[in-house]
Amino acid sequence: MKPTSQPPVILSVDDSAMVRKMVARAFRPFDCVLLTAANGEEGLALAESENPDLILLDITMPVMDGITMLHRLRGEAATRKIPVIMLTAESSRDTVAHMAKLGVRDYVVKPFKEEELAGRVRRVIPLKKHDEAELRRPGTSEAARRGRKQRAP
Amino acid sequence: MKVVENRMPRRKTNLDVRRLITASVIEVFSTMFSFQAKPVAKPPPHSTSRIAGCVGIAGSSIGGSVYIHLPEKLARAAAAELLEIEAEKLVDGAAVNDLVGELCNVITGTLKAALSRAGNHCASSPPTVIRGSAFAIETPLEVAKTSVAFVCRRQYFTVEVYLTNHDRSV
Repeated sequence: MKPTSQPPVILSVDDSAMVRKMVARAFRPFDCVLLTAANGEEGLALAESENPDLILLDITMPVMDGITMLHRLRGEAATRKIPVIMLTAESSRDTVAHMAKLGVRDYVVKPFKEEELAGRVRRVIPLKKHDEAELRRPGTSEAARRGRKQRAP
Repeated sequence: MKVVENRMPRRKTNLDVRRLITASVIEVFSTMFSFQAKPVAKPPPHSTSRIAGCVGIAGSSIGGSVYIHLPEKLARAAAAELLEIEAEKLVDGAAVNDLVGELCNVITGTLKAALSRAGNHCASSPPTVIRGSAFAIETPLEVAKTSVAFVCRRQYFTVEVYLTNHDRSV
């Protein structure tokens, strides 16, 4: 288990650079590390090497699609328990049901509002905004914390 | 010898494709770029360089494709909005192509969900993008075409949906 002082790591897997940009923008206010991959194969490699706290996963991608990547994640002991939120244009009942069987934690349909995406992620992993995270970092004196809180709007 | 061509009329789908596409486009443009897109009855013909995104759909009972035709200026403005830069500074054509492809992907997703609810399950292709100024999409007559036109930032664009029903179940 990661020390609680370390920012969470989120892996965004989507073949669209624009969507990856939108995801980055959604998490800009938060204290987290965002990794990105352009297809399931890259995503799988990053999941295995970086052990992210959460994966945001598209379905339709070249090289390896999201469903295949999800099957592979669930098949490996090292990645089986990483929570996954699907972020996709696919919203048919069959697809959603299939994802639920694979243990997906949530399902966000594109287009998404940044606040909505951040909110859904915060239900799965603890995410703090930058100023909140700074107050809670080890080594910060109590007096300094009190001072910052008073200055915050 | 007289040759009589058996021209079948275009099949119509029971799904209200026009309403679906209209709602989807308005939502996508609003959510992704905060742009307001409005449907229009009769757009002017395509006159400027445009970028078309295409996604194919295929299922056991239905197949077809979805196109979105955007004037290049509008596509660049949308991409610049997402990238948080001025449109004049956007030199990366790949970013604009990516955006148009993703737009088409998202709109097609809405259509696929509706088709699935009607019992017509289908898969979709990754998007492709066409650039040019003098092209038109042409299909056989038996393919049903729905074209919906919009105006956004004083520029017109269209979404075309082509569907062919394999077993007349739609």
